[in-house]
Amino acid sequence: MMSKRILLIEDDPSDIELTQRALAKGRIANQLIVANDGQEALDYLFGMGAYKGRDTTDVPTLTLLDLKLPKVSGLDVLRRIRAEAVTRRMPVVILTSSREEQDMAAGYDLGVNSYITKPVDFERFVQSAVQLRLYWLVLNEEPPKVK
Amino acid sequence: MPMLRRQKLLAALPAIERYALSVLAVVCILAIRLVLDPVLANRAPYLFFLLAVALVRHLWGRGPGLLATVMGGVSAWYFIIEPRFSFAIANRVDTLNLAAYFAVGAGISFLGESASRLPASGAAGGRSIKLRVVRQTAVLAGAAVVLVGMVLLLQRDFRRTQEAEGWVVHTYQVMNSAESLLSTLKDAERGERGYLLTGDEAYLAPYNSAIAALPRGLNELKHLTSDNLRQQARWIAINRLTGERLAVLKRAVELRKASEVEAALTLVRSGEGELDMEELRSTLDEVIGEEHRLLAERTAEAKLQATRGRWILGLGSGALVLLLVFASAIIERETVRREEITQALRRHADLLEQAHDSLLTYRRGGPIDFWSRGAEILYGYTRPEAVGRSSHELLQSYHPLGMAPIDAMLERDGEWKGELTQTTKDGRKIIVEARWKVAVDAAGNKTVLEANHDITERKRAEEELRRVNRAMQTISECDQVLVRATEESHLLDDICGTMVQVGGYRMAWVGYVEHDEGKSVSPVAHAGFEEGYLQAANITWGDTERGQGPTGTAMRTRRPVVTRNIQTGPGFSPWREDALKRGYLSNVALPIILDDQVLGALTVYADEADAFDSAEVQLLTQLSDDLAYGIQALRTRAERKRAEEALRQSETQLREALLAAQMGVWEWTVETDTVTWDENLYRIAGRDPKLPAPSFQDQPQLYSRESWERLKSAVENALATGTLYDLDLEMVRPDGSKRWLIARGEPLRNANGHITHLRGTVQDITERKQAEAQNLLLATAIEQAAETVVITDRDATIQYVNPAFTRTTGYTRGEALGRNPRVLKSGRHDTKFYQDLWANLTAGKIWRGEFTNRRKDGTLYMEEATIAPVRDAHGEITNYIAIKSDITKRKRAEEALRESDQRYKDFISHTNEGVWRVELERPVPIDLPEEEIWERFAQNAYMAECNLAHARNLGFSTLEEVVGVPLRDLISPSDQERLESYRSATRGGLRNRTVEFRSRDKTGNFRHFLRAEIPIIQDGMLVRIWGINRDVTELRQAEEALKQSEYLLRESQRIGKIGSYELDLASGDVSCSVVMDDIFGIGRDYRKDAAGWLAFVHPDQREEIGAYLRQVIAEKKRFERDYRIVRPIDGAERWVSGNGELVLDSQSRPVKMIGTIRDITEAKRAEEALKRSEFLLRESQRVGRIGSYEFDIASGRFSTSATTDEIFGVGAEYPKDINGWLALVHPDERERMGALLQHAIAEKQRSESIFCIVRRCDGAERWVSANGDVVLDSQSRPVKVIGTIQDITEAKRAEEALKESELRFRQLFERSESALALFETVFYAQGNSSGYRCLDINPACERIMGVSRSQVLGRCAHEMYPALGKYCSQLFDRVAATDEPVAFEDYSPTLGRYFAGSAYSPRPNQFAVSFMDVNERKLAEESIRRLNLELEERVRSRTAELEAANQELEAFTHSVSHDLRAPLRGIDGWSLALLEDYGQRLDAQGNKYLLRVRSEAQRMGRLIDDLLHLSRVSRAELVHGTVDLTSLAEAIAARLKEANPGRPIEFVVAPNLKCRGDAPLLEVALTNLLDNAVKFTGPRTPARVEFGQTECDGNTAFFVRDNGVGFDMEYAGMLFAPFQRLHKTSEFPGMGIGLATVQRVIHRHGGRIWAEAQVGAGATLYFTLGENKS
Repeated sequence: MMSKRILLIEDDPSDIELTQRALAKGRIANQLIVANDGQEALDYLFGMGAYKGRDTTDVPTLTLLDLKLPKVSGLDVLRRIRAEAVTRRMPVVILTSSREEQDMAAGYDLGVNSYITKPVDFERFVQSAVQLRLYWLVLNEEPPKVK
Repeated sequence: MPMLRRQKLLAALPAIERYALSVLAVVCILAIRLVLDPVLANRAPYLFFLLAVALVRHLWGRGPGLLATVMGGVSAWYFIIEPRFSFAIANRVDTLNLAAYFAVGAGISFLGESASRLPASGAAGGRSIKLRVVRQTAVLAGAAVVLVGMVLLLQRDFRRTQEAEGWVVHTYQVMNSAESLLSTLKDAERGERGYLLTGDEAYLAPYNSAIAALPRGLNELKHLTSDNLRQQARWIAINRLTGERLAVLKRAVELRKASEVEAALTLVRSGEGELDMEELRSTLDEVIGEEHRLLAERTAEAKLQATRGRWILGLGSGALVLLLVFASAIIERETVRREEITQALRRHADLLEQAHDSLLTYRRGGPIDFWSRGAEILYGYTRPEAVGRSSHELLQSYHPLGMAPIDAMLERDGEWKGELTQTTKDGRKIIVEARWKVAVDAAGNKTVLEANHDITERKRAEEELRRVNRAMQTISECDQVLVRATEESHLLDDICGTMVQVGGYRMAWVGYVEHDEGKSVSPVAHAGFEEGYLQAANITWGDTERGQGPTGTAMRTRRPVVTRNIQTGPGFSPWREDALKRGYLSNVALPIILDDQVLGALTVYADEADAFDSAEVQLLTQLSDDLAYGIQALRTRAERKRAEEALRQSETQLREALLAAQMGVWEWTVETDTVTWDENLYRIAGRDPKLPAPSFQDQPQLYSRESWERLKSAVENALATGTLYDLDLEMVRPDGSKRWLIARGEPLRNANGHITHLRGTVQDITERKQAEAQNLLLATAIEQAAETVVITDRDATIQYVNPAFTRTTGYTRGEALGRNPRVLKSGRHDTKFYQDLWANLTAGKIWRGEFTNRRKDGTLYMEEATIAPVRDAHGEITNYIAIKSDITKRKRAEEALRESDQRYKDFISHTNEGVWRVELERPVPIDLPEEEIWERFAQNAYMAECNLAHARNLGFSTLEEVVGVPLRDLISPSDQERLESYRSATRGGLRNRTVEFRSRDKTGNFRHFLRAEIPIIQDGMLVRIWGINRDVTELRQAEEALKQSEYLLRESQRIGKIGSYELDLASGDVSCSVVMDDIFGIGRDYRKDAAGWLAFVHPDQREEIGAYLRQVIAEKKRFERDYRIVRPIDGAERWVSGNGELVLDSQSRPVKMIGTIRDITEAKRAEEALKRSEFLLRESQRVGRIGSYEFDIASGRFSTSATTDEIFGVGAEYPKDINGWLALVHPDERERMGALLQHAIAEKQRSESIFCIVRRCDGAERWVSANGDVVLDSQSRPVKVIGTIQDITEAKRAEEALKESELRFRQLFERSESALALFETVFYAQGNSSGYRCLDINPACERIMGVSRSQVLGRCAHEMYPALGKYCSQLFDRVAATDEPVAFEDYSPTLGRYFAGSAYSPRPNQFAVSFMDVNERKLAEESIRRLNLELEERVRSRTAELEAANQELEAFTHSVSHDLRAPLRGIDGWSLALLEDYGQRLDAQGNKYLLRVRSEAQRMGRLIDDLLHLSRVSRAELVHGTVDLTSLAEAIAARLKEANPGRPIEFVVAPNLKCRGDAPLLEVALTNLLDNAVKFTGPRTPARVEFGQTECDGNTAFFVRDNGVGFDMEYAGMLFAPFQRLHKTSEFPGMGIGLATVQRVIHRHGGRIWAEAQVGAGATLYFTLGENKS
C-alpha cells in the first residue's frame, strides 16, 4: 500500500512554498509532488519525459490544480486527466486565484471534483488546505483503481 | 386522462417485455459467468459499463437489440479484450469451444431478435416487402453460414492444435526417456566405478538397479520412437551400444569380484567402455536433437495453426460483424419503417377508436376481427363479444332489397354505400349509413371494412318531419277538396284519394255507422290498395270482438285510435292476416263527429309500423273534424236543395191539382187594376189565354148580373175589412154557356198593412153541381116515392128497397136486403106466371102486371108492378128494378092520403132540413129570358109551404110568419147569398138543381146550406119550386178547416215547408203542424199555448222574445226573429227562425197569428263551421304571408284574401279589378304582368311570376311571387284564375345582396392585381391527396403565369408546371396539415420571377392562392439587402474590434483576478510566515508593521474582488425574465438576518412585486441595497428596512428605505461613483463599490436610481427598471 500522495500543479514558486507551508501547518504529512507547469504534470501522471518509466497506475490520491499555468493550461491538464482511463477517477481540486465564473463553469464541466479560490489571506488559505486534506484524504473514499 | 394513461401503458407493454427478457438474459449470463469464475468479481465494473452502454444504446432506440448487444459485448469482453483470461480455463480447446458456443449463441440471439423485428408478412403488402424479406433472410442466412463455417474451421484448427500439443509432449517424453536412459547408464557406470575402486558392495546397489532399469528405459524409448524410422535406427544403435557398455561394465564388475582389481582397472583404463559410452551419448543426443528438430517443426506448425485460427476468427468475426451490421442496418431501416407504419397504424387505430362511427372488419364471409370503440358504443357489444362472430348474424342487417345485391356489389365494385337497419345488443333497431369496402391484401384475402354511422335519430327526425309534412300537405289538399266538394260521396272519395295520393298512405277509407241491430259499419268511400279488404272486414261499432278494431273503437269512444303495429296490435286479430297481406302495418281511425253524433270514422293505413305519431294524429284529427264540418255543410246544402226540389214539385203538383180540380188562380193588383190568371182560369172562363185577363172593371161581363153584384160587394167588403170571401158565382162564358163557380178571394197586405192585392181561386163546380142536384133528386124521389121500389141484382137478390116497400110489405129494409122477393109470394100465382115474368125479364123486356102478395104479417095485398131489367154499358143485365104500387091503398085513398099528408107534415116539421115550397101567384113562362123569369119570380113568389126548420133558417120562429108571405119579404136584401140561391132556381134553365149558399144567422154567423130545388113547370109555365135546404154548416166548416189547413200547408211550403202554427190571440191556444212538434220535440198531446211556447225559448232569450211578441201584436207587425230553443225531450239547444203574420178581424184587431217556425240549427252550425274554416284559411295565409286571390274572368273582378290586401297595402274598398291590380304593379312591370295574365288565360296555363309592386298604403316597393291556376268549366273554357300571392321582398333582397356580393367578389377576383387561383384537392382512391386541380384563376394570374384560363382550368398544378406543382403541393400540404394560412415568398425558376403571397384553405379540400409578382420589389429588396450586407459587414468589423477590446478586457480581468492576487497572497503569506517564525525576534512595532502589511494586502485583495465583481456585473449578459422581487427580497432578508444574528432587524417587504429583468443581476442589486440598508441601520434598534413599490412620473419605482444614519443630500451625487464613501470605513466597513454596482445593474436594465436621505433620519433608495416597463 502506497502512501497517499498529493500532486500540486502550480507555477508560482511563492504559492508552491506557501502551499507547502500551509500543508505543513495543517499537519499534512502526505507526500507533496509539485509540478511546475501543465506539461510536467502530464509527464508525471502518464510516465513521460522526465518521469518516463514511472508506474502510471500509481495515481496521486489528490491533485491540486492551478488554472493559470505555463505551457499547458490547467483546464487542458484537467481535460487530459479526465480523458485517460488511468486518471479518470482521480480526484482533482482546482485551487486558483481566479473567481471568474467562466473558469468555474469550465472546471466543473470538465469534471473537477472541487473548486477552491485561493484567498489572499494566508490563514484562510491554511484553513482551506487543512480542510482539503481532511476531506479528500480522510473522509473521501478513494476511487477504485483502473486496471 | 386515465384512458390515455392506459393506452400508453398498453403501448409500452412489448417494450417492457423486452426489457424484462433482456435483464433476465444478462442475469443468466452473469450467473454462468460467476459460477465459472470467481475472478469475475474484479471485472464486474467493466461488465456493468458494457451493460450500461448496451442499455443506453438500446434505450436510444437504435442498435441491434438489447440481448444481441449484451451477448456480443460479453463475448467480446470475454475473449477479445481479456484473452489472457482464457487460460484460466482447464484447457484452450474448451475455451475455444466455449467461445464458439457463445458466438453461436450470440448469433442465434441476434438472428432471433432480428427475425422478431421483421415485419409480419403481408402487413403492408406488395412485392417490395417480399424482396426486403428475401434480402434480409439472405443476409441473415449468410451471417449464419459464416458463423457455422467459422465454428467448423475453428474446430478443425483446435483439433490440429491439440495434435501439435500432443507432439510436443511426445517430444519431451522421448527426450526424457533418452536422458533417463543416459542417466541410468551413468548410474550404472558410477556404481561400477565405485565398486571397482572400493570393492564395496554397497556401490553395486545403484549399479544393479540401473542394470535392471535399463531394459525398461530402452523399451520405453523404443516404444516412443516407434513412429520414426530414423529414431528406430538410432535406437538399435543405442541398444547395441548399451549392450556393449553393459557388457564392459559387467566384465569389470566380474573382474573386481574376482578380485582382479588391476584387470578390472585396466579394463576401465582401456577406455573400451568409454568409447561406447561416448557413442551412446552422441546417439542419444542425436535422438534428442531429432526430437528437438521435430518439436521445432511441430511448434512452428502449431504456431501456424494458431495464426490461421486467429485469422479465421478475426476474418470470420469481421465478416460476421459486417454481415450483422449490414443486416442490422436493413433491419434497422425495416424496423424504423415498421415503427413508422406501426405509429401510423396506431394513429389510425386511435383515430378509429376516436371515431363515432362504428368500424368493424372481417374476412369476407368470416368472423369479425376488428371492432371499434364506436361500434361498442353503437351496438352495445363489447369487443370480446363481437370479435369472432359473423357481422350479419350479430347485427341482423336488414336492407329492403336483401343482402344479396349488396354482397354482389361488394364483389363487383369492392365497395358499397347505403342505409341499413341493424339490431343492437339491447334489441333496438337502428338505421345506419353504411360504407363498406373490400380491402384485398397481398395474399388475396378479402377483408370487408364496415363503417356504419348511426343515423337513426336523423332518420327518425326526417321521418317525423316527413310525416308531419305529409299530414300537413294532406290536410291542405283535403281542405281544398273540402272547399270544392259539392257532393258528399265525392267528397269522401276525394278525401280518401287525397290521403292516399298526397299523404302517401297505403289505404284510407270512410265508414258510416249504421243504427241497425248489428251496429254495423258500412264503408262509403275508400282509396288506395284495398283489394276487397273492406268487403271482408265486416266491422261493427258494437262492443263485440269485431267492434274492438280501431275503427269500431274510435266510433264508440269518439277518440282517435292508433294501432302502432298491426302485427302485434291488440284487438286487430280478426283482420290481421288480411291487413298484413295488403301491406298495412299501422293505422289510425279517426271518428267523424257531427252534431255530437258519431257519423262514422276515417281510417288510414300506412305501410310502415309506428307511422302515426301524436303530431300526425293530431293533424289527422283536425282533418277528420274538417271532414265532419264538410259533410255537414254538404248535407245542409243537399237538404236545402231537396227542400227546394220538394217545393218545386209540390208547386207542380199543386198546379196539376188545381188543373184536376178545375181550379183557377188569380191575382188582382188593386192600384193598377191588373189581373193575372193562370191557365186554368182561362180554360174555365173559356177565354183565349193569349189575351190579357180582363181587369176588375171589365169583369161584369164575365158573370151573371146577380153573381157580379155579389162578387162586387164581396170584393168591396174584402178590400174594406180584409176578410176573405167565398162565393158561388155564375159565370157566363163568351159563348154564352154558364158555369158555376166557387170563387174565393183573399186580400193581401203590404208591409204597411194596406191591402194592395187580392188573390184567390175559382173552381168550376158546374158539373158537380149538376150531378149532385140530379142524384139528390132521384134519391129523394125514390125514397119518397109512394110506390114500392125494389132493386135486385141479376140473381133477384134484393139490394134496395125503399121505405114504401117496408110500408107495403112490413119487411124492414134490413130484413129485405139480401133476400129474394119470393118471400112475398102469396101462392095465388101459378108457376107459369112466374115463368112468363122471368122470360120477359131475361129477354130484357119490362114486365108489367099485378101481384097478390103476402105481407109479413100474413095479410094479402094487391099491387101493380112494373119490373124492368137494368143493363150496363155492355148491355148486360145487372139489376132488376121493380116498381110496385099498392092498389090496396086506392081503396082507402083518402084515409091514406090524409095519413100520408100528416106523415109528411110531421116529417117536414121535425126534420132539420128546411123543406119549402114556393108558389108563384102568376106562373111565369119559362121561355122568357132568365132575368125576366127571375124578375117575375121575385115579384110574385110566395112561401106556400115550409117547415119550421126552414122558417128558422129564414130567421123566423113560427110558420105563420113565413107561410104565405111573399118571398121578397122573407129574405133580407142583405142576405145576398140566400137571394142568389133562390135566383139559381131561375138560372140556366129551370131544372132540378142543388145550390149551395150561405146565410148569416141571427148571431151574424154564416150558415151554409145546400139547397135542392125542384122547379115545377106546368104547361111551359113555372108554377112553383120545391126545395129542401140542408144545413151543411158543419160540413162546410170542416171544409173550411180543411181549406185553412191547406192554406197553412201552402204557406209553410212557400216559406220552407217547416213547422206552421196558428196562435189564437184571444185564448192563447196554439195549433201547429206536426213538423213543429218535431222541431220542439213534443207530442201532439202536448198542451199548446203561448205560455207553453215561450217556455221552449232558451232562458237567455225568453224575456226578449216575449217582449218582441207583445210588441209585434201591439204594433201589428210581422213576427220575424231567429232564436234559440231548448228541447225538453233531450235538452238539445237548437236555433229556430220564427215567422208570423197577424190575422186581423174586420175591425182590424189582431185575432190570431199564423206563422212558421224553421229549424236553422244546421244552417247556423254550417255558417259557424264555414266561418271557422275561413278563419283558419285566412289565418294560415296571414301567418305564411301568403295571400290568395280569385279572378273571375267574366266579370274581370278579383276577390282577395285579407293577407293579399295586406301584401298589396290596400283596403277592402280598393277596386278589385284588372286596372286596380295593374295600378299596384310597378310601372316598369305593368305591361309585362298584364300580358302574362292574358297569356295564362288564353293558354289556360298555370302562371308563375315574380314582380315588383308599389304598395298602396305606404308606396313601398315590394317583391311578390304570384302564381295562378286557370280554372276551366265543363267545356274547358277558362272561368277564373285562382292563385296565391306571397311577399318575397326579404328573400329577393337577400338574393340581390348575394348577387351583389357575388358580383363584387367576381369583380374583385377579375380586377385584382394579385393573382388569385383556386384549387381543389384531388384524391387517390386510397384517400391520399394526389394533386391540386385548378378551379379558377383570375386575369392577373393569367398575366403573371403567362397562361390562359381555359388552358389551366381542370388541370392539375403539376401538369402545368411540374416544378411549381411540387411547390404547390408542399405549400398546400402545409396548409392542410396546419389548417392555417401560409404566407410565402419565393423565386420561381420556371418563370424567373419572384412571387409573394399566401395560401389558405377556404373550405375543406380547397386551396386558394393569392400571390403577386414581386420581382421589382424583390430586386429593390435585393439591392437593399446588399447595402445592408455591406453595412452589416462594417458593423461586424466594428463589432469584432469591440469584441477584441472586450476580449482584452476579459484577459485583463482574468489576469487581474489571478496575477494580481497571487503576489498579494505572497505578501500576506510571507508576512504571516515572518510573523510566525520570526515574530519573537521583532519588537512590537515590527510585528505591528507586519500586521499592517497583511491587512493592506488583504484590502488590496478585496478591492480587486470588488472591481472584478463590478466588471462582471457590467459584462454579464442580460437574460430577461419575470422576476419575483418580493420573494427575492425575502430570501435576501432571511440571509441577512442569519448573517446578523444579534441584531433585531425588521424587514417589511411589499407583496407581489414583480418585474421583468435579469434575475441574477437584480439579485446582486437588491442584495447590495438591502445589505447597505442593514449596514447603515447598525446603530438603530430596532432597525427597520422596507422594500416596496411606488409610482414615479408614471413609472413603477421600487425603493429600499431604512431608518439608518442617512447622509447629507449634498453628497448624493457621489453616492453611486465607485470607491466613493460618505462614511468612514471605521464606522461602516465597505469598499464603496456596492452602490456603483447597483447603479450599473439598474442602468443595464434601462432604469434609473436615486436616493433621498437626511442625516440621521434614514435613507431611501429608489430605482426603476426601464421606462414604462414593470
